[in-house]
Amino acid sequence: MTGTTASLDPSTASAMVTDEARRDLLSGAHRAVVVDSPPGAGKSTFVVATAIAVAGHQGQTPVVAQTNAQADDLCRSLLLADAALEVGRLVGTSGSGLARQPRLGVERTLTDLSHCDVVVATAAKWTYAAERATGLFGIGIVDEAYQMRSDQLLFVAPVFDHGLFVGDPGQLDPFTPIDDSRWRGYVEGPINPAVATVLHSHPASPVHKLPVSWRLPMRGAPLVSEAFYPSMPFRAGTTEDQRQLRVRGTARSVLDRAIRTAADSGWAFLELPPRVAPPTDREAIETVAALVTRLLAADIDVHDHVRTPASAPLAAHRIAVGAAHRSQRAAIRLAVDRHSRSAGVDATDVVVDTANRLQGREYDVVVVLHPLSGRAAASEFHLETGRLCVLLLSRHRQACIVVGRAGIADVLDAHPGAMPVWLGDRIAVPDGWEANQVVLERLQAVKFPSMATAR
Amino acid sequence: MAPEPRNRAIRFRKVFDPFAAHLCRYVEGRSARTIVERGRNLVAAAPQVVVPNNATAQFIALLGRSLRYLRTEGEFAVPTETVRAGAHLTWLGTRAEHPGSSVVLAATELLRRHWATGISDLESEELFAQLAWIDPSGARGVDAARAVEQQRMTGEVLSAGPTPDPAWDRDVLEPLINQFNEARQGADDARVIARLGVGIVEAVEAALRPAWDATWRAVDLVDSLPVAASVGDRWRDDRYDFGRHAQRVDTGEARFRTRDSVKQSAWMITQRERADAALAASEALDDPMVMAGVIADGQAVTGRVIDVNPPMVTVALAEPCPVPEGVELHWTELPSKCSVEVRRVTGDDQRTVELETKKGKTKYYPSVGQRVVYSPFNLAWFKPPTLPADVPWTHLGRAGDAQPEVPE
Repeated sequence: MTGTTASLDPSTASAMVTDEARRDLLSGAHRAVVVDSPPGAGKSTFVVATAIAVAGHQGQTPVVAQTNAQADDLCRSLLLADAALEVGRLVGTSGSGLARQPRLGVERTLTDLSHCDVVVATAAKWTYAAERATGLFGIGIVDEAYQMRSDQLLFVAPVFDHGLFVGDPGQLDPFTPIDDSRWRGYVEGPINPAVATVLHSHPASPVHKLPVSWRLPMRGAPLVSEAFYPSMPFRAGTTEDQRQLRVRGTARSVLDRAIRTAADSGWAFLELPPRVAPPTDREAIETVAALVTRLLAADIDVHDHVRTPASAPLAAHRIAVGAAHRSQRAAIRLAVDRHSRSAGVDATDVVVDTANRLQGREYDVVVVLHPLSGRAAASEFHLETGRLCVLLLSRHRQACIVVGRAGIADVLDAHPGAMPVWLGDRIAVPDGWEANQVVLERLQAVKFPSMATAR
Repeated sequence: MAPEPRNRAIRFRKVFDPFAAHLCRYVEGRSARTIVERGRNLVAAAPQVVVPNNATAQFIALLGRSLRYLRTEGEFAVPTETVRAGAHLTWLGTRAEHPGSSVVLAATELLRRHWATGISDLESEELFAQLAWIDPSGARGVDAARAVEQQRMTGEVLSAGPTPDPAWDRDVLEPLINQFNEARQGADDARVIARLGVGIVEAVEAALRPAWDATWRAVDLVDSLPVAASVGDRWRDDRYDFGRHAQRVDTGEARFRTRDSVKQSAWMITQRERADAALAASEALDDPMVMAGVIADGQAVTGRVIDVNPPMVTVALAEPCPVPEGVELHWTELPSKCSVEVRRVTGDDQRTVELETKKGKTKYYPSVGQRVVYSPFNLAWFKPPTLPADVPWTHLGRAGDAQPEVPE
């Protein structure tokens, strides 16, 4: 199992864990091997390298992804990682964003991909392919295994005899839109994450934890680790000098002070006056747009030691705005375009999207509209959305600025737990309520009370 | 009605056995008639049970479980109908959880699905309050509902079940039962019970009558609405499932587990999620008010066609396009035959959207000037995946994990 890696340098610590996990997997001594990964800890790199290693060991290797976008990304990375590898993308009716190309087959049946070293498909597609592929493979790899549901794994698992389950335990648990009270409290219940089921069935399976986030900067990692990964602390893989946001010539406006603070400390919180507002809270959205425009208009250099050149001005496509709700996405896009136009900067390439669509992506600076901002009450769903924060607060390489209304903590404090308690039910870690409170507490130190930044 | 439900003999003789016989007559009567439809033999109608609220609906399965394992011989034997009724109730309770099923209808849920009120989902489980808002007989809905809530607080109006009202239990029922037990002096033969229990029967009837009437009022209100196009399909699913249940009861194969097995729950959730998605799609496609909600939520777009240049269709929207590029939508006129992908959103305020026709690109296009809706819903059927023959290694492992099967 994972020894203490805290004293080692980040690369060695990381490599030690991945090597050990791969050794456990290839040894054949365990039915299942689990690898827990915090955001940006090199999970994709690990999955790709391991898939190639397993293919070298056993021949064709199946990889289970959770969405078509994730499966496409994996295929691209596999092709880049090994110039001799034949990759197969098994697709259903919804297809893939990838087209056939040399070394990449995009087909509907496994038979058409029989020459491939690695075959990638979504869990949903494997569910259908499993019927004809039972017992076909020795080792299978499941990516984003914490997002996969136990019932899906039941359909897919007959395909392989041993599994590597890789995922991020801090993310939202899988869910169902239907009433699942019938199965609550079942340890092998269909809604449980696949990893929980496997660990219940095979409790001696090794669980490795990747100890280093390469994405989150030194100033960003502690908050995310403390709030969302209380049971698996991690650290940043880079030093303060290797990542810097150099801000010059800013004014004394609230926005500029927030930007400077974010550059210095990794975080800033622009707090609007308390008010109950609809999701498309005009003032909040205007503030987000003004902030993005200011980020582009101000003289900001991004220093990142792995890039060439290491320093370059902050580019629009390296900025993202994250929101919880689709209606916010559209409203923010419009406001950003309007603000930037009147300020004479080009914000076309700024990415505005909802949390789940930002998953797996990274940017230099991320502006977040807090999911609980302006809400009158926190429903169970919104507490879950609070956990969704982990998606929004862990996309950045440099800094993250949160925009929200005052009073979020009060809404959380007033939240009545109306959900029944189920005997034997899994305890979600982290708890959505607590994670929210930790984030808010940490943001108090970098808070900027902001009046509405109306045009 | 059992004047003393804590006495097993009285409880079964006065409530469970007669109720069971009645229920069997009704349910089994429904399976007697079959018709040939779409080439298969199908029961003409499934049973339908209407109850005041969700808590009562949930009670059905519990009652079924308490009856289905009873013995029909020896000590504490019950009539075979009582056990069969347990099987029927179990089926009703399980089927009630299936999205879109209408074999068990809770009046509160039925009203909530068809009317919008200012009371929350939780509060509207109080049938009298929700009904007062929807059908306020002259008053304003909000005032009528508030008045009913007041009366519930003071005990003038009792709960619509199944949880009894503690104040009524204490002040009305308890003295009557004490009186009854003193008078009968341990006797439990039918004639004595009937004679001495009159007062209790009257009191309970008076307490239950408003819930009975309110439930029928809710049914009448819903009956006054036009029938949605997709109702027939969902009712056919109910009839099909009921036919299978009736057959299993007939052949003595109606066994129920107390806990779903791993495979059973995986299959059930697949079926229910499919039914849930189909229900959401049908409701939106049947009812413009539901679709309006979907559009307001940013999942669908509506507007006027300004250009058709196959495979592209350009639509002018009234609002900025909320659907991101790359998302697949379906034309509501031909939801299973024509799909599009959001290609590009343009215009100063993001109100022009270019859609690339995918499915049906050779034939299905709206005309320029036409009002169109593109939604995430389609009604195409797709084959469900096949359950593995054996429980795979991921779900097996530790000894003793297999669930015992409890026969009926």
